[in-house]
Amino acid sequence: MSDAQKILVSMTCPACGGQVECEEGQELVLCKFCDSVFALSSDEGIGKVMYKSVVDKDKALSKVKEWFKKGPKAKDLPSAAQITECYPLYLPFWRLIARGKACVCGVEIQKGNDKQPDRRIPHEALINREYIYSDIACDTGDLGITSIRIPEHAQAISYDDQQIVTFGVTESRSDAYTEGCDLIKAEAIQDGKSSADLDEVNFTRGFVFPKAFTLVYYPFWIVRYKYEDRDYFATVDAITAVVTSGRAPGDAGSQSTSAGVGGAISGAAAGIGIGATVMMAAQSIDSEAMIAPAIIGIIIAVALFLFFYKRFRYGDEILEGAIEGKGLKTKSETSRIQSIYKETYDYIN
Amino acid sequence: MSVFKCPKCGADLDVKPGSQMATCSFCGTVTYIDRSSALFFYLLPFSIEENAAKGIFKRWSAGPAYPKDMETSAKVTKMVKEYFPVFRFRRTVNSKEDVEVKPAKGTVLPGMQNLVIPPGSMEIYNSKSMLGNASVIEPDIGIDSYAEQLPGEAIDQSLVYFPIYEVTYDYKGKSYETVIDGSSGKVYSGSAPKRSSTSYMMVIGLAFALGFLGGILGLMVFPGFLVLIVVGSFAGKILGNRVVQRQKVSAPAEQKKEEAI
Repeated sequence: MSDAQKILVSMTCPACGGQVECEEGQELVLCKFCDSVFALSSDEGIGKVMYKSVVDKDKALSKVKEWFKKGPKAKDLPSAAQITECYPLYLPFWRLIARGKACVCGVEIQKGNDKQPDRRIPHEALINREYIYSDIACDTGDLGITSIRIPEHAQAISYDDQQIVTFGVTESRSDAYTEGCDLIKAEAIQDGKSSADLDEVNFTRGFVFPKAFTLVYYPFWIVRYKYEDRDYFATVDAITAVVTSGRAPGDAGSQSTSAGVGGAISGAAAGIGIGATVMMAAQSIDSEAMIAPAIIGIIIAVALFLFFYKRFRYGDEILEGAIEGKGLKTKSETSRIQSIYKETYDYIN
Repeated sequence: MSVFKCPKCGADLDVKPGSQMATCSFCGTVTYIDRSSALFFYLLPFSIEENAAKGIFKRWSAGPAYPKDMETSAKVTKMVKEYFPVFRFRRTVNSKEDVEVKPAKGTVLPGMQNLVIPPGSMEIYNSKSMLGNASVIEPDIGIDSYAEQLPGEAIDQSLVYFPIYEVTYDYKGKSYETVIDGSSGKVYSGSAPKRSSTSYMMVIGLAFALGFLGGILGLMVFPGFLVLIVVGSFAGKILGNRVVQRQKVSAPAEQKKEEAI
């Protein structure tokens, strides 16, 4: 027996020795000869689901062309970009569906006045909702995809690894499972806190009841294009036809406008605010309210300044999705937890 | 790599990367593959061609983190297409699964020490693998030097050859190195020239100062000063344009000069 044969374990029925048929993901097997049932213990005992791509190449390309026109991207991008490649790809995601329950207790404080003391009203919130966690199961390198929202109309088909181009699963299954459970628990507690009107939280406890844990293969179109000889890309969800992530060249005109208009307006906000305060001080209006215009002005100024400075400094390249590196992020990444609002049994008092 | 034979009928078994089960195409027997003590060889094919890799380098060098003239003046002196070997360990640690990736060759290339296996459809690596014009770097670190230090029990381990472009470029007389992941296009860079934020700060700061003066004087002294806000916008826009505008390909300008001479 060669070394290679030592790692093969034959699957025969332990009762009758007949050959059994099992597939990845199965946990129970029925022997077709002697009808005995036995459990399989396998570290790959996980269901795989694949979703059917409904967006064709032309549609994916037209969506990318629409995307070229949106946001502070180079003005001549729609005409100057040359599509170099467009190919379909399935990405694997760990997907945990679980019921998240949380108990949150706390008090609402109603401010009293001189005669009455503060009123403390106790509240509790019991959250009982369905949540879905999904997280990318491989490293997508530069593609910037981290999570998915599977639309209702998506059609699941049986997984067949012969037909599809996909990525190898590289993230650990148990890590994803633990993280999914933790995040769902945290989300349920957070939902409890936000649904009850609490000023003080005294007690929180979360529970999670996993229902299904699957490896989902979800289709995307990867579109690569050239602009001024530089190579950029965009990814399109092949079921909803939405551009999920991408890189694009920025527009120099909107960068410099950000510098001028953004700088001047934020300066004006600070100037008017401080000016108003100084004038009130000169008229000796003796009140705490006097300082308010300056504070409001400065807060607006700082917020505007930071917003426009980012657009000016990093606007050379637009990044959408979970892409690392310097550049202007115009679209945040999809969060990994999705709340389902059907079959919700919350109790809030 | 050794060929698997079906333990029932002896026919060749087709074992796919990553799967624990194989079905014999002749007798239909399902066989479980215990990968814990074997080393598998895989290869991730290039999905980014050389032209695209050049384009990615160009895009990367035009990014806002690097000097404005880097795209035009950085000269690529060497671009090597190769397969870099890494070990991928899948282990059970404290009853949890853990995946670790370690370089199988001593290297100073950026990004190789804390690699994650890049995306791509893994293929079995053997003498029939289509390598194209890429060279294969052979591992010089034995798997045992890692396996002994790793915690837990092995589920499987493999040597993965993954596709990279090693790009060496010169910028202002200094040589730098980056690695482009040949599967996803991710750029790993070590030390690289930096773009300073000073000029950006000065321009937006000037617009801010003019806007501030316009606001405060317009309110306190005379409304006409509000014009300064508009002046600030235009000054910022014009100066900002000079900071942002990159030289287009400089060749036509030089040609004109030559013609003039």
